[in-house]
Amino acid sequence: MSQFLATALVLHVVLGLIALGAIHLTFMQVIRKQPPWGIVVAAAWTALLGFLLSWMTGAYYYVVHYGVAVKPRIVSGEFPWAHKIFMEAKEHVFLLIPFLAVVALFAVYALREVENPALKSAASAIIATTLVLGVLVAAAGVIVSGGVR
Amino acid sequence: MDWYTFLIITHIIGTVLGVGGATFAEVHLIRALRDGTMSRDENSIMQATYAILRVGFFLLILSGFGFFVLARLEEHTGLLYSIKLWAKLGIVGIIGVNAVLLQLRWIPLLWGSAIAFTSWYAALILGALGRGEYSFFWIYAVYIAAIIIVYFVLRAIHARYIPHKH
Amino acid sequence: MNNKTLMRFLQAAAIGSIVASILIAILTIVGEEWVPLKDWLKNTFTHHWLGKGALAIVAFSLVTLWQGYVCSGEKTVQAIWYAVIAALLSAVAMTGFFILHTFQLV
Repeated sequence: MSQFLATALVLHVVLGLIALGAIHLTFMQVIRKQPPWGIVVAAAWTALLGFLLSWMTGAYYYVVHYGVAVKPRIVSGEFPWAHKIFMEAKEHVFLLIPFLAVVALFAVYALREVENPALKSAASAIIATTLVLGVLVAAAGVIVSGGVR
Repeated sequence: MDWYTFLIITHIIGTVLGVGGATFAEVHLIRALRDGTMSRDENSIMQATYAILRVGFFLLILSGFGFFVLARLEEHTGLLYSIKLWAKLGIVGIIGVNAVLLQLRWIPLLWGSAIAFTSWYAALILGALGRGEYSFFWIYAVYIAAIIIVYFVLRAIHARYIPHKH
Repeated sequence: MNNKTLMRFLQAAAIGSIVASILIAILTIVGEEWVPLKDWLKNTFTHHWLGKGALAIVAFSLVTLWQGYVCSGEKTVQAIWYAVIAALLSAVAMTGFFILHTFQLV
């Protein structure tokens, strides 16, 4: 693996984790009685940008390297399900996340202006969904890497 | 300094902040509630403690995944399927979920405190344990037993030091 | 941006997310079962996965912009909940499909 590809992989993971940390912070602050809107908006933006950059760096690694050099090793090795289930699920579930993050960002702006308990519940739900799917995608990434022998 | 050493240092800092934060969260909570109410200053101390805890948690996650990426890049991926590791990851997940439940007030404070306190120490201990044969069942059996014991200890401490409303 | 416009675009983005979630699931599952679709994605976008992402971005953007101008902004809460459900169902459907596919059940 070239240095550039290794860097792409590292950035994909680090940016994804920053995005997850940010969306977690968004959620934890939104559910408070008096959310600190400055922090919430900044966290929601960080999450969206983190997910988008993680998408781009991951896409480069996946398209250029994973399919030709990593996938065949996993599929022909002891743990083919690491690709066939976990990688396939991860790469497709990941696609849902940036759009949820956009909705979460809009929701946070709306909540800042409008006091509406029903909107707060719905916004919390979409932020939580983004977080949960992101965590599952990250865990799947560990399983996929473990399948490379 | 190589990447592995850097990650070890970061992971230790995260553990110190997290385990220390979880410990002091309980100490500060008991001290704050001793007079029956939480003052503004006491609440500020609690918020600062939780903030440090969150920083520790984030450093642990970041450095933990750093180890995974390093293992992948150096082709030592066997550890990624270790039972001890996944038991620890499960407990880290429980720490995160518990924090959410506590924030939402969907879990009683004492149970939430017992789970948080036990989970942080359990993650520390699992991280410190050497390689060997581990059983997922026994790790979680001991973990759950520890949570229950810590709950009753915290309950006794709260009963002793915190006045109850009648 | 005033509150009414904000609510309209939030509702629109939620609808856009619903469409993206459904589209991604359909392209993924149908693409695995019907090779011409996967081949078309690969030939048009270099890689099938890039194609799914690109089409999802286009669908989300177009639907959000369109709905942003036509929707009322009064069903925002419902739209967000439907977006949550759509994303979760899409994730479950795709994961379930790959599990069944691996065991050659579909």
